[in-house]
Amino acid sequence: MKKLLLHILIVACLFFVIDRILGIGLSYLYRISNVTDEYKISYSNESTNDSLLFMGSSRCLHHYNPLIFEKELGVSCFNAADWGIKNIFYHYGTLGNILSRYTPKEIVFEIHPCDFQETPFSGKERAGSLAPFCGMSKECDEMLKRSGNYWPYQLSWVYRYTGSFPSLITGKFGSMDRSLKGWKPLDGVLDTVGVKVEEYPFPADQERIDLLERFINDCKEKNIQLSMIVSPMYVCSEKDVFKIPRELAAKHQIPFIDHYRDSTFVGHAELFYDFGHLNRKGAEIYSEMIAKELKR
Amino acid sequence: MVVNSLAFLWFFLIVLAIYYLCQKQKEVQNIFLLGSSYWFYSQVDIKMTGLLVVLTLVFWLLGKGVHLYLEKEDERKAAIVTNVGVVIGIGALFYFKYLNFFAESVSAFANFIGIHLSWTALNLVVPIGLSFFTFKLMSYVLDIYHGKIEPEKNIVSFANFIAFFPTILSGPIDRPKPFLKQVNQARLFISDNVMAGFRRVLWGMFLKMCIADRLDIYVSAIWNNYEHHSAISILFASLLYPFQMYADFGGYSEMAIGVALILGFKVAENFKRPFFVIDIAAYWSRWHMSLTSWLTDYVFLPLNIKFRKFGVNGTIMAIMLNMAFIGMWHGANWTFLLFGIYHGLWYIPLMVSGQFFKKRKILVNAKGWPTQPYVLKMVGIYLVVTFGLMLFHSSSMTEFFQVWGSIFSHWNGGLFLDRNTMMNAAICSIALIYVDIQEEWFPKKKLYLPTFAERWRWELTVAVEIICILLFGVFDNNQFIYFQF
Amino acid sequence: MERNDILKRVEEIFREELEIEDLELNDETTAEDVDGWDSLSHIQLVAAMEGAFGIEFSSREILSWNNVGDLIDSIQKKV
Repeated sequence: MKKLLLHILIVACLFFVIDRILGIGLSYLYRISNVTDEYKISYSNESTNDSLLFMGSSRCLHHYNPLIFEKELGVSCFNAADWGIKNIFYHYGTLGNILSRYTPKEIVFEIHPCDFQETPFSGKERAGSLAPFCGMSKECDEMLKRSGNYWPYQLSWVYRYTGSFPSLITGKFGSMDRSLKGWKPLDGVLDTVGVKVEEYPFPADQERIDLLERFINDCKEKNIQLSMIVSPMYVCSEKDVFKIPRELAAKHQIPFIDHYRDSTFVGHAELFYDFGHLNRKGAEIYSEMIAKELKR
Repeated sequence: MVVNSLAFLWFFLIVLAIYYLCQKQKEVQNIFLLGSSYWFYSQVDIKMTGLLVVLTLVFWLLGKGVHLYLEKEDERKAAIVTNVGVVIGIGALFYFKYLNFFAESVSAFANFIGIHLSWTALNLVVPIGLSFFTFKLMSYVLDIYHGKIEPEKNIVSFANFIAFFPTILSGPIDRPKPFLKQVNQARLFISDNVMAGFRRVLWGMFLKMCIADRLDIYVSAIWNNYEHHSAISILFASLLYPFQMYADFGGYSEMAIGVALILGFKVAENFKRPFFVIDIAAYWSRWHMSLTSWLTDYVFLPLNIKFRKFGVNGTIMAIMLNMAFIGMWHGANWTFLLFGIYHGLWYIPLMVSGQFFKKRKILVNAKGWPTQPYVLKMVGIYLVVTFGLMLFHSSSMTEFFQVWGSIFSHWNGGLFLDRNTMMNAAICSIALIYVDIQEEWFPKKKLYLPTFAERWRWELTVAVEIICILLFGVFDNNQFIYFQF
Repeated sequence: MERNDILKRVEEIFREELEIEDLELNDETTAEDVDGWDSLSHIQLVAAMEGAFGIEFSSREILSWNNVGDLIDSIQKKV
């Protein structure tokens, strides 16, 4: 029995050493990666120092060109959004990490129904993307705990990168252009055949709404100018999809910039890549428009 | 409760502690083991636990009966009691697994020839592990009848043989004699067993979580959407499937065998590098070995004996029936039956040429590697198995034909590849192939370690294996494909 | 027929069927001891012995043999 315990102890020590060393190596590869996911998540959480931040869903990622905002508003700007239907569980954790490092002057938050509805395709597990930053801020750890993976990430640094080894090794060959400051333009035009409205018939999720409120309050506490924004879609729902965030914004006196049904874009297939994402041309026109609005 | 889950880990650690605390009292240890096995099974399928207990009791009594008649030299009555056992076993399997399929096929045929018959499918869930423990029950009675074993005096020992939790759900299928011998001796705590068992569990987890579950993401994506994928994608996914199955079921078997070893039991092996073979008979002697061996001893052999007057043709008939059984054992569907028959057909050239009855060895060259003609044959067997598994994988014959329809009509199309998934799978698969090649052809070679680290080879291997599982594993708790058998 | 004679005859049959020239059998020999004697070649051996001795075994008899000794006993009962 004693012999076995000794063996187990040695295994634990070896595991700890190898896990930490490998974990450090993987976090380095994570930081220098040019693959969309790794670059966006790591730069947003760990490195950005810009005054104006765009946060939110993939619509944010593809729609806001920071270079346009930098020119128009004369401030440094970074597009901190990521693709993959990441929701408020992820965004709130990211905010916590960002605020633990510095205080941006302004944040524009591109809201999506998965931020306030119980969407089955996007839930707490999205916070799992924050795994590499376990321990960075209270809010981030809280989101990781809610996603059910906090303790495994504390125990093993390697586990934070599970499944990512190949993309980390080949990270240098990723397609993100770092000079675009986080924006990922989409090149192509929408094929209108069979395009339908995307409906969101899911119940409101109080847990997510509470996190949205906390997001707003945390920004207020640090005097960050927060606005909520909704980008246009190619074809819109008849229903009042964004009622809840609009009321929330009114309650906290936050500007709610609603371009969901903006006629400049709705129905204009040449400005869209797919039904919910503007293409490069559309994004640039849209960014110019928003930049002027923010200037006021 | 899946073996690679946290719930199982807690269950197992608690059981392990108490199990070895009672090691000085064999009876207590066995009762505790039985209780744990029944508790485990009840967590998986509480309704069927009753059936399991009842069948165990019935067969224990049948075993006593057979032996009683044999002692009185009344072979006829002994045969009757044995047959009752076989009928009950097959009956249970038939009822839960095959009744719906059989009845639907009969009524479909009846309707086809103009007789109106309808069958409302019974809402039956196949008890998990049914195919495994009924085989153990039947082998007990049959072995007594053939004088291979004496009936087990201790009902707790016998019940442990049937309900042993590491192997009850998906095997390996143990034989009465070797298992009962072990259960009737106290299992003392031997750290070598625990260490060896733990390594097997880890290796099984690596195979299942890092290779099988990872490949499944890709293969299922293609197979479940074959209407939209190119021929080359479908063919590629099909070629990966046998390897995925090997890692999946082989990995599960490793975990079961490892857990049993930690408890001090040596159970039957199930997989032995099944693709390093040059004919179909050798393949089956290395793939799901405990099932092949069971069917060989209780189906093929008796049939072969019965048909021995017909020489080679008799053996061919016996193997065709045997393989049909192997196919049907996997499920109640024409696809499984044809899968079995397909494999049976590949035995025919082997038997006709006489090769079947001789030892068939793979020659190696001076460096120890198999020579080219043998490597080509191995590739050939892999392709044969691939086609068979396409039948196996299809949910119906219609789907099988539709998949092939897609293959023939989607020739223009690139290979769909999810690079991240494939690279993860490739890295881990290469590790598996390396280990298998080394164990098959270079068993004395060990991976290089500097001399000062040599004494910690075991610890280093374990630590690295754990890291690999954490880094490459899929953690979404996929269920094993072999469960519902 | 003498037991030893039966053993020698059986040995001859085994040598021919399994293609092992110098094979030697005794009462304790089991399938594990002989290269190539498995459940599959077993039937060929049985059929060959039935032919050579002009006898017929029952399935149960065939399956009851644990070693060569049992086999010889069965043959002796019939010749």
